[in-house]
Amino acid sequence: MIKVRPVTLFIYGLTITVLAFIARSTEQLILLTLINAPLGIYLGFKRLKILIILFLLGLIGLFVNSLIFANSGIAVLDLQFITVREGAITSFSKVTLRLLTILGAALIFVTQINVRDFIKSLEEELRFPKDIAYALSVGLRMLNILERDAKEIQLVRVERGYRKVPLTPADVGSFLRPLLSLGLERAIWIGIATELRGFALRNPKRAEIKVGVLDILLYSLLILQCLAILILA
Amino acid sequence: MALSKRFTALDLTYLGVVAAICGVIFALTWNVYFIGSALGGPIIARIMSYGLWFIGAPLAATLIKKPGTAFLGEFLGAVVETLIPTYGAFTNIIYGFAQGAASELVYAMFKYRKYGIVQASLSGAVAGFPCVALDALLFGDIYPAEVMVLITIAAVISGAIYGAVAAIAVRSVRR
Repeated sequence: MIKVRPVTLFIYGLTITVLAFIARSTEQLILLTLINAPLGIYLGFKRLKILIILFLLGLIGLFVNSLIFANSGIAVLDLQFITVREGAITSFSKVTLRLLTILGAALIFVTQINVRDFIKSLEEELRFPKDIAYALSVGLRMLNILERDAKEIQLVRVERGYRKVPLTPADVGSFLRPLLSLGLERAIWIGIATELRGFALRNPKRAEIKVGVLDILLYSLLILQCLAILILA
Repeated sequence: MALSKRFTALDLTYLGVVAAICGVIFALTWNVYFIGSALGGPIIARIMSYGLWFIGAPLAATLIKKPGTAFLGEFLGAVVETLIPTYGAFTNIIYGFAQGAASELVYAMFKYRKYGIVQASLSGAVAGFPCVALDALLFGDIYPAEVMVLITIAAVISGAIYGAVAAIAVRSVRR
């Protein structure tokens, strides 16, 4: 199966995010959203359904925020207890479109990459220092284990009558200490093993960025979006 | 000086663990932010949650005590959060970069000689400024002047508190 290179997806996602912030007019944001959000949501719906649902729930808070701080201008909707004005609608729609674009780009990236290949390509193609690539790979390898530890800590907290989600600094402290202790205990042996295998002497491989048909298509789509944003500015 | 000459594999592994812990904490913080936002509005939400998003820098710096660790702790935590992924997606990388750089400045000001609770608290607090600035710049979170001041103070206080919490946690674990 032909796949897009992780570096291409990374560059695409990051550039689209930056474009979403550069775009100021509603037309620019609509264009970016229409290209990226449906594709991202289609690709990510199965695996990341909860994230998409959370995103949609978050929009309610965003609308309330717009009503509190940007409700000015011509009245658009009169709901007896509150009048929704043009300013609130404009502010809400712009931020929503921006967030949808960013979410779309992230979903395209996350669903299409293999994390191991991504880190490898960061080091080989984007020339990231091997130290950073190594730290990142350890972090991502440990993530599942630490997530499991975090769930166990949450379970223990509930059993002891404390809050599941740490909300206060004291909660965070009591949540962080065991997580850190478990993580560092594992890290010592991973670090020693890595050092003994000659990590310091290892020279990272460097590779040229190769592009396939799908990469060219994605870069073309990116360039088209950049041009469209410039034209609509 | 090249990074490889300064960090041992053990330091980098610690950094990786901090990044993973931060990824988990940053992901959970979205819940804290939404709960805070629903219960008390934007200022309470920021006091409750923003410091948690700045915790990577003081955590890594207090643990490893080497130049660059504050920046890398925050930035790598943000990269891990992006790959999980969370609500913030690629914006996490932009925030992580800016917040990490701001926190690193504090340790640089102390010439990388002190990695105590005060420095951790300050590094958390300082990260509040780029974060509020990015909120305004990226998400258009621009409120009336008095609200903006309150929001900035909330972010700074939250950062200071959780910076101290991170340093205390590291000290208690390493004792």
